[in-house]
Amino acid sequence: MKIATIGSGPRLDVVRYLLTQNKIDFLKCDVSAKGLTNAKKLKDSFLIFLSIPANDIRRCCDILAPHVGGRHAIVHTIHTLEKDTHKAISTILEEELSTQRFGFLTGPMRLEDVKKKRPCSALCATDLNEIQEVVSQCLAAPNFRVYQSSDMAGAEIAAIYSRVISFCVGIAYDLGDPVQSILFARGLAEASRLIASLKGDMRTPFGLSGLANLHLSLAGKGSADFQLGREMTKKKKKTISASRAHHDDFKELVSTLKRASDDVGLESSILNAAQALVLGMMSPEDAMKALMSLPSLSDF
Amino acid sequence: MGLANMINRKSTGLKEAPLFHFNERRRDLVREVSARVYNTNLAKSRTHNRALEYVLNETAIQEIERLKRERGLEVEVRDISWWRGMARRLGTMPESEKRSILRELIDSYVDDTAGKFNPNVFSFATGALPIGFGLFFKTQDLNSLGDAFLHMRSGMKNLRDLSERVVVEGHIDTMQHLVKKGTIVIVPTHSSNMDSILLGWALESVGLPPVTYGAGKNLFVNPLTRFFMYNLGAYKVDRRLRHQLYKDVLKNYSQVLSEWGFHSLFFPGGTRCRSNIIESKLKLGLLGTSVSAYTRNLQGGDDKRVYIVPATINYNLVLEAESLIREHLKREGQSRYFLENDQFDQLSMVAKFVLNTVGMKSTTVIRFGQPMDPFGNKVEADGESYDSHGRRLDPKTYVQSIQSGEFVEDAQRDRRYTRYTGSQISEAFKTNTVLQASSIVAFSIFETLAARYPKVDVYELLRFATNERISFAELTPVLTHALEKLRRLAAGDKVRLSALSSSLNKTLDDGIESLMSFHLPKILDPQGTGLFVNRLDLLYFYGNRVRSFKLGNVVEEK
Repeated sequence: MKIATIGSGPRLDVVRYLLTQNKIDFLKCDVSAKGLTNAKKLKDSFLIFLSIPANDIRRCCDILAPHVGGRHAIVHTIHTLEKDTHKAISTILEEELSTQRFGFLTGPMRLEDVKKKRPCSALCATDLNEIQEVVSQCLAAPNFRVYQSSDMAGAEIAAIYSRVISFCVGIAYDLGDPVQSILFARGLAEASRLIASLKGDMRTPFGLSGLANLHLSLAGKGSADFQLGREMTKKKKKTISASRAHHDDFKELVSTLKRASDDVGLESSILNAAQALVLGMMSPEDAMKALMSLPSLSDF
Repeated sequence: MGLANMINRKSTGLKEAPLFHFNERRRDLVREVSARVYNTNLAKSRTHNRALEYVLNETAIQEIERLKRERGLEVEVRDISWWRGMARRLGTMPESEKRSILRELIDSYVDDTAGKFNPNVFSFATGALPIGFGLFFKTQDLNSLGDAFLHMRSGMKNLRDLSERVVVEGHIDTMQHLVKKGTIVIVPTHSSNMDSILLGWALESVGLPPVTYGAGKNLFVNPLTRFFMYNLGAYKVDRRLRHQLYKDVLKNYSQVLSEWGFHSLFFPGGTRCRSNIIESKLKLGLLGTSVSAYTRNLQGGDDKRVYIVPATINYNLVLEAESLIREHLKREGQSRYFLENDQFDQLSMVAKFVLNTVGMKSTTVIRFGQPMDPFGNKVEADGESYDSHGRRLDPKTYVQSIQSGEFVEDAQRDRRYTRYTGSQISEAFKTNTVLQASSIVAFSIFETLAARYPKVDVYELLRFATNERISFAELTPVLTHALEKLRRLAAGDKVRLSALSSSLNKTLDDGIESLMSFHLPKILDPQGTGLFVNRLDLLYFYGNRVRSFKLGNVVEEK
């Protein structure tokens, strides 16, 4: 079976590395304004790993569509929602492509760790065992485990929510460890409620797509989202302007997730605070005060 | 297009239709279905040594419980004493005897399910229709024809014009091509026991071949209906049986029919829609057999396609409306299959319904939607599948293994396909609904009345709001607003409006005329400058068709 990878990103780098290590030939395609390289060869590549910017996904699907049939499986690694529709990437793929075989690959995996053969894991979320099997087979390595979940929509939301919590932890970093712990727990509980209201499994955010992604995003220097939070606290305007592109992307991500949450009528305090912060409508101090003065609720 | 205008279009090749050769293949069909069900169960016994005992025991328990509860007129495959005796001996029964009992039981169920097709009966029935509506009559009613028969005689002239009262429209040309290329499975909305007969007649009248369909076993009780049903390719579905063994029989029967090229029809809503809301929760079991049938044909080297054709049956009035809505309100959605004193069982009601229907200006519309493949992709007249952007697809690829490319059955994957196709059918039901004036007027009147009692829910309103009067001055703006909203939806191909909904006055006149006929007491009575509402429950029932489109509050926004 031939495999293809489309786009770029840290998780796709891990996939390419593991495929190479496993001596599996794969087609590498890049997306540009002109189109997609090697697009015609995709016809025979029945497992496709996809990592492209969310705002480019429909254009990319349009290019892909003539080359993708019912046998193709598309596994994406994108941690965001579509801006205008608030739809998950798997939903867009389903709308735009003729195949109905999709998966989402996420989890605590970094190329530097995989290269050093440190234990790492990925989660392949899909409702089809067949996809889980082929993904597990082609990414198999002694220190790399692929876990499985049938809650694809839930895993997509959990992975996105973990980015927002990571940002909030960055904001609250100087306030001590307890605040970070609270943000962990309450943020994942919020994610859980959103996932449940979208008919996903409420336990999903406490697995690899949520909790594990979140934990890894805070390790070392922390993820770009965590760093953004830190920078906003320090009010290093120059630094913030240096990561302006990421700041703008993140603003869009938070607003989209907030609208998705509003669509189902959920009150999401941490998400509200994150939006207010990222839009500059509230200072970190005021956001923390607002969160800490909320009426006390039951943990679950 | 009126049926009368279509008679000339009848295909001369109709007699080549697969169902005309059903009897020659019946024995093989029964044998094949039996073998598949038996082998599936036998396979279970190879992985678990008490599997057969469990299957037989579970079947026996359910049958004993059912037979204790109900004794209908339907012929039973096994009586209660047989089940009790078998269940008692199961624990000590040798494996060979269990297999033998299972085999015989499956054979009996399959044989009981399978119908027949008699070309002579088909010619007679299609020639005799629309007068053939008489076949609905129960024999016990024949003695009490009385007034109804007299009315029938006086109404014969109108009866002959019934074909003018039924419009068959939609993707008929596409279907005429598809029946030559593969097997079609028609999946219609379901409002009345008249549906399958009316559809059978409609298919024949536009030159499409007859289809086999599952009909409730209760319809085989009376000798006259049994004769027609049995000889027109209908197979029996005993909805009282809930055990897995019987479900396996039905599923395999449906699958083999599709595999062998017999065009068929089944109602994905399962049973008649009690509320008259357009069905959205579909039963996907039988639908899934189209994916299995297609896969098995491919495995055998045959690329014979299976096409799903959604259809809507749009009555102005529904014969069984009263019992259906009563049942809906009583159970609030929890349906059961058999209704006592259903209007369909009463000769005089059927006769009256037919006579009223032919006397009305409006028409019943049967609309066939765009055919689709078993994976929910639309299909054009060339028999090929196309995606939503009009790009041609190869349906074979859907059932290929990602890794090996072999054609494989994968229950999990196929369930996903079936869910998707089900959602496409549900959408097609809405976009192919032809809203009749009776529904639009009923909706508008009910909403106007409901606005008088804003703090009362529907069920309270139905209980307490009796003897209400509504003036035309009050009704007209609501109806105008509802029509505006519906026309906007129709412009976007989200729904269709009947010809008589072209203007406010025509809608109002035709709607009121329809709602004042057939049902007793009359749903509405004219009273000076307004209408007196006698049957709010029936207004709710007919209005539900419109309510499916979520128009919002048409009263406040006037």
